[in-house]
Amino acid sequence: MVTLVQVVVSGLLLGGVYALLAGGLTLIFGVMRVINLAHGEFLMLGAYASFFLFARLGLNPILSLFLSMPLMFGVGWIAQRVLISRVVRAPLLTSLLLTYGVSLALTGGAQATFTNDFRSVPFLSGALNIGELAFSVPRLVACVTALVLTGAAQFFLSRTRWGKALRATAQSADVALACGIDIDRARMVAFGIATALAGAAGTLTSFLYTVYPEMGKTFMLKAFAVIVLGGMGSFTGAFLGALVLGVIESTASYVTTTQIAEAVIYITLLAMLLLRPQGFFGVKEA
Amino acid sequence: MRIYTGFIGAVAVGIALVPVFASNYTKTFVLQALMSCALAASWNLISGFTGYVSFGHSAFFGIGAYATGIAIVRGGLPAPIAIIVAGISSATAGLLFGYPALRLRGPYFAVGMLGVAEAIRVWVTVAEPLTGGGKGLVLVPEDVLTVSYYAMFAVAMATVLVTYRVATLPVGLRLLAIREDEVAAELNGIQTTRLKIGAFAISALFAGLAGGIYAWQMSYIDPGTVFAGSLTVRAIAMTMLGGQGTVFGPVIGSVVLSGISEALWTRFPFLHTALSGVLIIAIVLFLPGGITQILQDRGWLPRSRRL
Amino acid sequence: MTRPDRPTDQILSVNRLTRRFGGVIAVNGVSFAIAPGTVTGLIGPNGSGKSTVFRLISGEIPADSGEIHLRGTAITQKSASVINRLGLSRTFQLSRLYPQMTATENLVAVTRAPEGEAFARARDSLDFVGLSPVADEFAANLSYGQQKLLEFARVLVNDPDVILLDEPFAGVNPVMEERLCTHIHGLREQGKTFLITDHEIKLIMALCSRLIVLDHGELLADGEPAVIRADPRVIDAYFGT
Repeated sequence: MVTLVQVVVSGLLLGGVYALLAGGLTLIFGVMRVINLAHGEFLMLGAYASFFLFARLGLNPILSLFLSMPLMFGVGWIAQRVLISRVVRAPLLTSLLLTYGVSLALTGGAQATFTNDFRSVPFLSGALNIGELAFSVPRLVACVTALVLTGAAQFFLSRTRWGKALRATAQSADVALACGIDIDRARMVAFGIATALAGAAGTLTSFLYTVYPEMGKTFMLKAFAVIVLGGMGSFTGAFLGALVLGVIESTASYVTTTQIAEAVIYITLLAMLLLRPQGFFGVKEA
Repeated sequence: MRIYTGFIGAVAVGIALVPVFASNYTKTFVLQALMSCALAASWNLISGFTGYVSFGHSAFFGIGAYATGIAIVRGGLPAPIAIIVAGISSATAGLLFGYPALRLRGPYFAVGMLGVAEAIRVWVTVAEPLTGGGKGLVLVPEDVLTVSYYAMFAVAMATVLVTYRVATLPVGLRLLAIREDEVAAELNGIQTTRLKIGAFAISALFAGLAGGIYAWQMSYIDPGTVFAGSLTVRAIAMTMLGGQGTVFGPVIGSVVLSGISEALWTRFPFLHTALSGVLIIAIVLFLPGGITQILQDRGWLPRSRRL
Repeated sequence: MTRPDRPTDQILSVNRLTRRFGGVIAVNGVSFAIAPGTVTGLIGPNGSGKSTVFRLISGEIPADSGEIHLRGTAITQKSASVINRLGLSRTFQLSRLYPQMTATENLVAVTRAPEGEAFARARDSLDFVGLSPVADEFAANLSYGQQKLLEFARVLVNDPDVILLDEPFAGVNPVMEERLCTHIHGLREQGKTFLITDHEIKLIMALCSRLIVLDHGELLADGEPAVIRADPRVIDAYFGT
């Protein structure tokens, strides 16, 4: 019984980090109707940023967020300005292929620059004991940070002027434009935030998993699974979907090997796509 | 048109004669180029024509490879039968996965297929007694370079020929209509589901045959290689470079990229993936029709569905 | 309100058709039946549900409740391609041609003629509407009027019995208007049935032998143009608050 609770809680903690990643993906889709296949690679960049800041400057990953997040925001801003903006009005297929190309370019670039060696960030270890339950400290810290960041993003979206501009653009770009909102800038902000969140998720995963250039693909699939579970375009759905996925992964890892656990995630994704593609909270389009 | 038929005929004859005159190194290189061509052309049949972009094409290559491997090693079947088994297995998989998968819209289908490829790869890695697991499967090592060369040539040619037939018949236009506007196509009475699944199964068939021949020729396969994402990447990059939804686009693309790869491989091994990515970006933004579009715009090629 | 009888030889009948989008009821219990070989107009102010009715009949979207019958067969839950194959086809308000295919190819893709005859059938259709000169132009490059004509040719290429025209006269010059009307009259004489929606009220009144008026998703009036024109409720719906 204790073990079960632990596994579930461990999964929920993991889910917090996934929520951070998936939130960014949902944001991009909501504001621009673009599925960013390079999202996983932005996570990878964040992970490497964390690694290098830790290895070279001894900087604590949580603190390094103050450096890496603005950097990633900038990367996202530029990506939107230079590349994504050209395909916002294009059919979904075009933006899919474009972001696919970006993900390849980033993965390949990382392979060439950082080599394929596995890296790790040995920051934090051990467990926190509360009663009979033991909670992994790294996961706890990662989850709390993820929640803080997700909460901040939510606050931004619902309370600030820019946040409202983003939501207006998401609802209807033409109407937003007519109301005087600079939708191009709104899109850049959205993409920047999403990238920063992905990078932050990367920083958090850097001390939970190994860091290597192709790590983006796995996380992208997980983020996608979260979105499919929760419904594309719904922030709340993404959050809940992430928690569910975390628990599924954690339970599967406990019951079988890590490899099979991964397969379980893919199978969940496929099952959802078959049975309920709009997720639990998504809206079926008219 | 005669000029082009002649040109293509000459190229085909040239390829057929390579094993007679060339070294093993050259034979292997052309064999790989032919394999890439088959993969690209089969990807094109579903993704280029119908617009249902699949990021999991390697799944069918891998299924074909393992079907052959298992048929030879566990079933004791002779190679030619084993390769036919590969084709049947992958085509069946195409039908099985296609039916549910093709009901999904664009990005869900694309990533869903990626999920399928990954899931199958993991399954193969885990099902050791049957597949040899992560260590791979060793087939009977024979020197079948020349025979498998011609087999791969036949598969590549068959894929291109089927594409040609499809493109020049009204059915090809129906597939393109699905890409242009699927809802309108449905409303115009086009049986989109049937067509999509059919194209998908044929695409899987040829990818599987290529995988089977690959397994036979290499005498060794492992999940990481035959289900590698890079196979899908190559198929996509080559098709887009040459011109998606055309008959010879995948051929042109596979020739050009194989040549470039060969040149770069020795010097910049990791730049492969990165360059493929940059290439895809460039094509999407500036040249959606690929090389075929350039040639047609310049008047060097006629605007025709036959190409 | 004049209600038509509902004998069983009505080619298209719609019974208490309802469809909601979120909280909005776009079509609310609409019923009407159409006799074969007639030209009927479906009119109403913006937002009255005309387009939605078209989308429901053609199978593009499913109805929440109600029934649709074509020649006595229920087509309510059938898919769009099945409905088209049963002999009902439809044009779109904003033409949905296949942009990167030529005019001829747009028709060949759709025709159900046997392979050998497909191109010939397409060429005949283009001839019929006078688009032969642009047969090999990409649909995206055609002028607005030419696109409308191509859309019209496409809807006819499989010889449907019932044709739904969604704002065929929008933005069309008087010469083209006449052409289209002539075609419609000619096809009606061959026994085809038309259901047309448009905002050119005068034109519709002249073209159609019967008008169905919708307002806010509900059936407001149904009868001959002369009667409808004088109906105070119709006038109110169009010009009132």
